[in-house]
Amino acid sequence: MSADRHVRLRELLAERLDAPLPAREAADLEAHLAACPACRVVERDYAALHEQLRALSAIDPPRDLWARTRAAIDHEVAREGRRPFPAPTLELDRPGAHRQLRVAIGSLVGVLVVLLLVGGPLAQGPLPEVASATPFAIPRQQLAFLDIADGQLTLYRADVAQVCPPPGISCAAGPSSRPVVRLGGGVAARELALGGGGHLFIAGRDPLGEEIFAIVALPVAPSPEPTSSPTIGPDGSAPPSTQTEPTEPTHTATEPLVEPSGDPTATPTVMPTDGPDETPGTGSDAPSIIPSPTSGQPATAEAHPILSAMRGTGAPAAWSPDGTILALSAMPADGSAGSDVYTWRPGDEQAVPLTSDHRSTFASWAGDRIVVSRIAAADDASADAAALTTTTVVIDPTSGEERAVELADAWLPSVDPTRHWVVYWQGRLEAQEEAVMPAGGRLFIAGWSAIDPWAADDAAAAAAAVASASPSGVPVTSPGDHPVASDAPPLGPEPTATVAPAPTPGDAGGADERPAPAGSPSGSPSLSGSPDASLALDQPRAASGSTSDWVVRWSTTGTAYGIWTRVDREEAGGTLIVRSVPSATNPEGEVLVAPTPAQRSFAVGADRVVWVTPLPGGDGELWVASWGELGNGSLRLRTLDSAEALLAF
Amino acid sequence: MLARSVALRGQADMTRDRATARAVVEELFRLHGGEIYSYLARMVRDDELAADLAQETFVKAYRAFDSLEEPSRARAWLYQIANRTALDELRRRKIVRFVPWTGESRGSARSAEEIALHGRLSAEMERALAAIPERQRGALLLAEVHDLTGLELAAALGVSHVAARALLTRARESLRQALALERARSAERDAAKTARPERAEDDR
Repeated sequence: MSADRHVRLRELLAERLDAPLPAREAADLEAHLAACPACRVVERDYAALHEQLRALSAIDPPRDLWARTRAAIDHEVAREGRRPFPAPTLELDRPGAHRQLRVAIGSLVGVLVVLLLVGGPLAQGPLPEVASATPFAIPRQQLAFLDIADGQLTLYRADVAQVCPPPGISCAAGPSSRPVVRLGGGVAARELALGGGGHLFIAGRDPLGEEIFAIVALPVAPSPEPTSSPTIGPDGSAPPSTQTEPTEPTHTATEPLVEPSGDPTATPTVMPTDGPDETPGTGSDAPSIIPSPTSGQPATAEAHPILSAMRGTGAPAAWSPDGTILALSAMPADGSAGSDVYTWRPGDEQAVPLTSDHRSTFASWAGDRIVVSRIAAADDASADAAALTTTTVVIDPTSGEERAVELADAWLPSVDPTRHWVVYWQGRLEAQEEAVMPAGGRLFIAGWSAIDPWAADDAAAAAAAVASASPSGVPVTSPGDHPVASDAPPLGPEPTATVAPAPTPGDAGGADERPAPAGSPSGSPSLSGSPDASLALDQPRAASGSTSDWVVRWSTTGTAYGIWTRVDREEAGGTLIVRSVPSATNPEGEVLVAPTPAQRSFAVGADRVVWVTPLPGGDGELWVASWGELGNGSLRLRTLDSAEALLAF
Repeated sequence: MLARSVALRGQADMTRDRATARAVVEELFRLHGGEIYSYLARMVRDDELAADLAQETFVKAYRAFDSLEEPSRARAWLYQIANRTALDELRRRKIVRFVPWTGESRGSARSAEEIALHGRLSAEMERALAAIPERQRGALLLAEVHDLTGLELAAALGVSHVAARALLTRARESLRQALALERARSAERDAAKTARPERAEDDR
């Protein structure tokens, strides 16, 4: 038999895998195989290849693929000179302009989808995992966000109760979001903190361009509609009951929801809602500090300044866990002095200075105390005049007593709500007149319990409380224990005593790291801790790449944290990532939300994060992703009129 | 006035058409985004690049929406765009490097032996796939992994039905030979590993 004949028959072997051969060729092939052992080997090889190739599984796309793709398409739309169109399956807030168009698109899409699914052999084949976008329920949680509507800063409310499996694109029924309060005064906000018994803090600029720090007294109105969906409050667990009491279940739609209060110091009035939410499934039985939407126009409210002629410094302002104290830091707008920490309580006319050294910057809350970063005094400064050294203190805002934390050269430590963990920045700080500017460094995560200077007091207080409640009078907590250690996650091996972040050579930003201070070879903070110091983390771990601008936000359970970073302040946007805290099995922490383009403002709830993806043309897109026990999911909530929208759970 | 209203109506139609295109492409992404990405990832062997190309594929689909005449052929049409996009990129970048594979081990739990065997088979297969000509790789992936057959495969490859079959046949033979070569290399490596300790023992 000629070589050409062999080649031809081997081609038939391959062709036979794709389609039946004509009878004559099939017979020829079988006859040839019977007499050609080598050809039978080839036949077996082809069959094995066929099986192996078909066994290759799908490769999951990155979570943000649709967000990127959609942004690119929107860019294309904008390039064509038109505005992006809303997705057909998303319930938007401005139905008037687009409802008919949406229906038309939906019909066309529906026809096409039917054709794609049942239109014949060309449409057949297994649908990949991505095809499933059936939403699943997650515990309901209310989200507030500030966006521009009709040129006015407007507070919206959305009830987030479902997401789609990754990569979620648009659930069959996205949640609606409603404008609930319009803020007068032409404020351009850059910072939002929701809490304080119905008080909203905003920082931004007034119409004259001056920085303002203001409080808005929100009306508080629980929605009376019961729901079968589990609901979590702003703290991620049971909704707070101290701020509102259930009111009459139903009211007329014309009844005003909001009674704007001109006095920010007044206790917000609890106002009833106008009845069930118009959107099925979005009602909530949880009292909330976020007002319920009305069927008419949103209420209006005024922002009342609590600081003037100042500019913001440090971490974003934040409410104490019980919502009774707002902490922030600011410095004179004219640069005449450095930063100090201020507090504001309902009833205060103005924010009250907590420090007066002009070197203190608000970092975070650690329970009901305030963590402060402080620049070393001039005579303490290192030989490197351009660089600054820092200390960390924790201040009791009631007594004013402060205690130092053994966390050297950390900047703006952010302590988690359970006080187990701290994320801080370490790098090079530079002085620009009286302001302090991070010039290059990285974020680290470390254990907080062991370095909390108030831990022993709290433990003793807790032990005393238990002892007084115990008939035997025997304390169940030893004085050395931290009170929160009892609900700590599973511990890893016994941690070593003193540890250090050890940036690896070649790490971005390594060149900008501060030189090692005396006594600490690696320039690390010293975490000389007790055995429960760092849980599963025996040394601080890098939590970011090089950055000079960042925001850290913790989940309300303290089990996850979101980090938004950008390499330098000139960048338009940044990157958001959410990780779980370190565990014995995963010291790095699990990546719960992969790095995604995001604007600076984001919010983390108990099991979810919400952020704004910038779109070409200045718009934004509001996304939520969750990582609860039901699995990971995400959902595009809506487009926004401004990529600078501010978010809060 | 009449001309103006005609122009406005024309613009409205155009706007509606583009809105339709936008909505349909979104739906196509929902249905096929994952498999298109998967295909591109195996074609270019670089996850990040694959994501970029998947994005480019759908942007091109939006731009070229008017060329989609039969909705029932949308899947093949998308693969055609993806295939061209990948081949253009490969041509431009001359990517020939092997990228260690990830994302293969989903599904039900398997024994350690199965995982090891599957891992090895996958690794050899991935290297062999990387070694064959790109157009042949595309044809094999489309036919075997993504279940495109007949006219659909031809459309995705942008060739005639006969040419598609011929390309697929050549691809199978190329892969067979490449896989045999990979297995021989694996065997050599295994032999070298086995020999090394023995030699060390002898030296001692």
